[in-house]
Amino acid sequence: MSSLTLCLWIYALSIVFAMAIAVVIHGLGVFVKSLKLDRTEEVAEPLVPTADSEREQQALAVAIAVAHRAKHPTRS
Amino acid sequence: MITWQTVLEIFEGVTSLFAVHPKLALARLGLIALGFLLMYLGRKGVLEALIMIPMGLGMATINASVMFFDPLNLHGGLGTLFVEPQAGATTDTVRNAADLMTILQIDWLQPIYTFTFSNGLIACFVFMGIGSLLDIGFVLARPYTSMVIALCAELGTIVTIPIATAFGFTTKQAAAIAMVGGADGPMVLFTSLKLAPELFVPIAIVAYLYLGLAYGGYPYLVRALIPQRLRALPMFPPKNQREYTSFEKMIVAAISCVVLSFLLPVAAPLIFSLFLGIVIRESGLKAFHDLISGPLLYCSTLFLGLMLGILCDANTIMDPKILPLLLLGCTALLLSGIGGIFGGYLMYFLSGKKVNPVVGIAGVSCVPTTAKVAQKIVSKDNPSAMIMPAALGANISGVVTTAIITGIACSLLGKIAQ
Repeated sequence: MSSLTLCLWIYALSIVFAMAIAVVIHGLGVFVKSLKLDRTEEVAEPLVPTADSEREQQALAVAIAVAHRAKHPTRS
Repeated sequence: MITWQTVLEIFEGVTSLFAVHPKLALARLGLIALGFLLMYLGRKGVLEALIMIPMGLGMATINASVMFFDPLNLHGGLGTLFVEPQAGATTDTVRNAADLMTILQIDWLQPIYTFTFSNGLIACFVFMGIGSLLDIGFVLARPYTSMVIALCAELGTIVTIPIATAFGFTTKQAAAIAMVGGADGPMVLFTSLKLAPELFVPIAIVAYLYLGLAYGGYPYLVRALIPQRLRALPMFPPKNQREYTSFEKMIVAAISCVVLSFLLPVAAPLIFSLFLGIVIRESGLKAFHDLISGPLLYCSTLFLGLMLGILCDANTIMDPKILPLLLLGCTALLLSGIGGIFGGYLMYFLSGKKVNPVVGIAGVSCVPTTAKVAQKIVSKDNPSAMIMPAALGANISGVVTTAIITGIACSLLGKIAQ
């Protein structure tokens, strides 16, 4: 098998596997929601990985707040 | 009587410079300077400090501390008391065991190298720590977008295979080198161990050197390929986005781990480590989470960086195989970055201009570095734009696609004679 054919095979198989996994992840998301598990548990807030500096951390916090407000606009 | 010669012999680091070919001596001095430069750039935040500072110091020190000592007769009478990566690398198993025992009792970092680095344990520890920092909710929010971007960001991994074979490497070696394009350090170590153990040390060095450089280099690539107007595009959570509890995320992570391990047993140690971190994070086991996201992750990263620096001795770097590896590694990462940005553009158009194309660079799975790079770039152009959740989704999917390619490459090539 030539290296070109090989890399095309690897990529083709990767695309198939990756999209299958995306379907599985999507399906799992739908499935766990349908289970209606303990809804009293608070919805987890996504965490942002460590920022490099306090300033960056603050900038990210502000950006999260802005995105949150865009999603849940308050009436004034 | 003490002569000038005797005094010089005391300082073997200096005298050993004159005992080798001038080219090698210059390489040692150059690498000492490069080590300092990496430390400086790490401290300045241009490169990834967590890797570059220990790596730079290790690189400078290993090239300074060469002495007239070579217990295994591998380097023409010169060596150090740090580590001997070639111990136990012959075809004679009895000699291997004897060499390894000898060197384990001499070189102070040899136990770390033999028992954590060369078998991939340290990579698994890093993955556990990374997993504990990841939120699988980001992938659940946009599974298809994230996966398409991540697949595009594997361009370098795929295209570098034929390029490397054109350079004269075997198919297995080419695949191991090309994995640098996946930008996933632990996966690179793992693939090179599986497919090209003879290139393990140079590939590891090249991979981590470039992963550090990607932190400083990718912003230029993004600015060159994406106009300011698009970089500033704000992103909003998808409509009808479900919100998941920790328990639900834990179930998804656990099942995904088993499914992926089932499909790709070759990459199962890394997949398991990553999802173990995610499961621990979502399970609320605070003590475990604190352990793996703090001491374990940082201890592993410290020794990983240190070990990579220590492996950068002039003998290894001056190996004629290194130059093509440097070129191929650079090509792989550059192409992956371009592929990722192409993926970002693709999703920008497919989503009706709702996805910021900068997210594409996060498809290069250097978790969470490229996601942070993407957010930093966007924040400069539009401080209120938040792309981190989408970027992390692409980032995590990048880990998955790299694991898939690793699994496929190891499985396909494992059956090929060379």
